[in-house]
Amino acid sequence: MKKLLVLCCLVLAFSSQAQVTKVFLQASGLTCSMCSRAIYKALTTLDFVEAVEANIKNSTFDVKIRAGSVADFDQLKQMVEDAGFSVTSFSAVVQFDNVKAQTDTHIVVDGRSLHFLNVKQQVLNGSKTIRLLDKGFVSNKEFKKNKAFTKMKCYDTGVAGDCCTQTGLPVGARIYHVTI
Amino acid sequence: MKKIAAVIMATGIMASLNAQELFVATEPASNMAKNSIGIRLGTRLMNMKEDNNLRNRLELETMFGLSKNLMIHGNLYVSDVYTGTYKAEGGSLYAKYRFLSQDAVHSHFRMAAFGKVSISNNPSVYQTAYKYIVDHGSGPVEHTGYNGHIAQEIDLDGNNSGWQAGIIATQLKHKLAVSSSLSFTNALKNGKQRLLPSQPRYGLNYTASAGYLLFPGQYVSYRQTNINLYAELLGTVLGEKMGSYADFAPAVQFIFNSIAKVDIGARFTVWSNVHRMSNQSYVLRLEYNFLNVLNKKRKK
Repeated sequence: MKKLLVLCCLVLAFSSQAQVTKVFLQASGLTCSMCSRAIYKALTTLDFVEAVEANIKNSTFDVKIRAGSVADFDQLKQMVEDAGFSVTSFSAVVQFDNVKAQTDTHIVVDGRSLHFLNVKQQVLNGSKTIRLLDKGFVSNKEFKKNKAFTKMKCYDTGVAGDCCTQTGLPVGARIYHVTI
Repeated sequence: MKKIAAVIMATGIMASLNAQELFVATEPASNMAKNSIGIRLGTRLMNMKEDNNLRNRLELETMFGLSKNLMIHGNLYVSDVYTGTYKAEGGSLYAKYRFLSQDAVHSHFRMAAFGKVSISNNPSVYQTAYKYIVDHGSGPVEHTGYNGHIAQEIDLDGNNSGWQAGIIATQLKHKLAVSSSLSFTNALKNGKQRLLPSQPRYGLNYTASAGYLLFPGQYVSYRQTNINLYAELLGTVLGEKMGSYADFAPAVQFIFNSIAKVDIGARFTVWSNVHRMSNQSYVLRLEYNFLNVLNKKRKK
């Protein structure tokens, strides 16, 4: 059974026709350059991060992802939180190749599941910026506001629930809710 | 009274301007980054009330960010405050837990609980030198010696053994930070020394702090030197109706390379109806931070 799961994951991973090349995030709760530097330093320690460009004034960080590496969104968020702050905006530049997107559907990017919210039905090609809407990736206020876009439970939990199993995802698998 | 009014006015003016929260005389509700270490070396020059001489306390402080919400400080104290001769006095351990964070872009409101335990080997009585000249007809004779005094204040940074617990609330808005704390202090006997009847055992402490980012006007680089100004009010009401005192602590702070700090501060008594060691003291403190050094998964 385990082998079957691994095989499924591999198929999912290889079926990915998209890759994250950059992440833009904005941190909240800080103004000083010492605080900004603590975040900068923490982000640069991640293996999949090639370079970080910080804008101290706007508390924004442009993170370049190492080619061939998989960007771990949760780990990036965790680094900001460990430095003592929060993420208020998180976008990723993804290279798409003929990927269908519509509200309340899942796609797989770099082996991770993305759940589209508030998008028009479309086919994604080339470099697009997606914005994460999950808890901890936007302000609490925005998270509550965006609840209007879906009735699916996975939005609250960030993991696949009964609502997602029809798409073949095992219960408990991480899902990132995104929009374009 | 005029002094108190001036302090309140100064604090009010500061609060209406911009500030940072890396306070010199108090701690903010925020913590240092997880997996980071900070080292401080400080010196506090105290102008002794009895003989107007300066005495000095050296302080070595190490700070650890254990998690995003928990940090600890360990301090060691060496001074000549009690006898005029330098000696190791003891140490303290401080822990702070941030239990509330409401973050927004360029602002936050945070609350934290803290606790501190201190050990000091200082005697109950501190000594200051006296000198006077008497002439009984056979020429002037100089008499010198030491007078003993009792400090009616609780100081867990070298003077007293004891513990402290309290809460802190800090509001940061753009470059403005204001912070306040309330805490309870219990002085215990220093080793085998007795706590004398006129020495305080309990204290209720309150602080109000504000700061102002003077430079840079706009951030463009981590290499820009930051200059912050601080104004803090630190008060204590002693238990057993012993009395109360309050200090005003202004400070200027330089931050270099967004990683090293130099604090230059003073502390003046604005109100006191008890016997204190000193009504004026001056602080110089150097700090360096090692960010993310305790992270085992750190990229080489």
